[in-house]
Amino acid sequence: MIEVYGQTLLDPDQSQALLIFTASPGTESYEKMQLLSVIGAQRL
Amino acid sequence: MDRRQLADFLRARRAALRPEDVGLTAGPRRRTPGLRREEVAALSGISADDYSRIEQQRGHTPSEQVLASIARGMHLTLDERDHLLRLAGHAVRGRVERSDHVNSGLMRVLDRLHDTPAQVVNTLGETLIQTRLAVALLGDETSFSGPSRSRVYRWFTDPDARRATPPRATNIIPVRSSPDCPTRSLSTVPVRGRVRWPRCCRGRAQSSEPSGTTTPSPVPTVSPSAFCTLSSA
Repeated sequence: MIEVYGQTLLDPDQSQALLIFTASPGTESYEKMQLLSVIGAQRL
Repeated sequence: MDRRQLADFLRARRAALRPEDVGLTAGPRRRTPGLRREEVAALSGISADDYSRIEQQRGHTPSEQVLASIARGMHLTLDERDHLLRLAGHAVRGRVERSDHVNSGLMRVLDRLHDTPAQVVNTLGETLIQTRLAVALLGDETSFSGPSRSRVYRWFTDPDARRATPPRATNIIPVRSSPDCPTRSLSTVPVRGRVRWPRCCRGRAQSSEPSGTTTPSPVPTVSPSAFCTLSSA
């Protein structure tokens, strides 16, 4: 389980949204996210 | 043009209208609910013959102007008006702006988010571009085709997508399923409404936080509406 905060930024001109997922620093989720950024999409 | 559906639709809308809805008085001796054809014709500013012909599936394709008048006369919603026009085979201008082109400014913002899961989605919920970490977190969402390109469509049609993005944590009870439970693919069940538990799952529902109780899954998963909770093996 990774808990992230989802922030949506809207571009009304293009009717598009930029979704950004962040984890709170210092949490276990944050560390998992750090790990994920190293290992990327590869399966373990 | 779909004459039958067009006629059915008009008849159904006419039957649903009460005289007082459109500023008429009900009056006595009304045998059927709804408006009379003549009343709709008068409200729409067209002749009763012209209107009747459409309901009786006779004559030429009604013009856009005539249908727009009927839509106004019957107080149809915008969606109903568009439906009416489509049934008659007229083109309907899309009311939702749609572009799959991500402009350069947004692309540059995305480029700077290389250490963050981020992605651009359009109004249909189709993912247009993802950062590398978004792919790692959510999987490649840009490789779908057809209706499946929309994450909304996938959520309703693809059990995997629903498992990956369970309903909001505040509305769910995690279910610890047994290996022989036929519903073990469901890691969460909505609390609201009546939930009929499969026999093998009864008594196993917990009202605690979902952490650690979800079904192990090889890919990291993300929560739906708020995109807030991620569960992974």
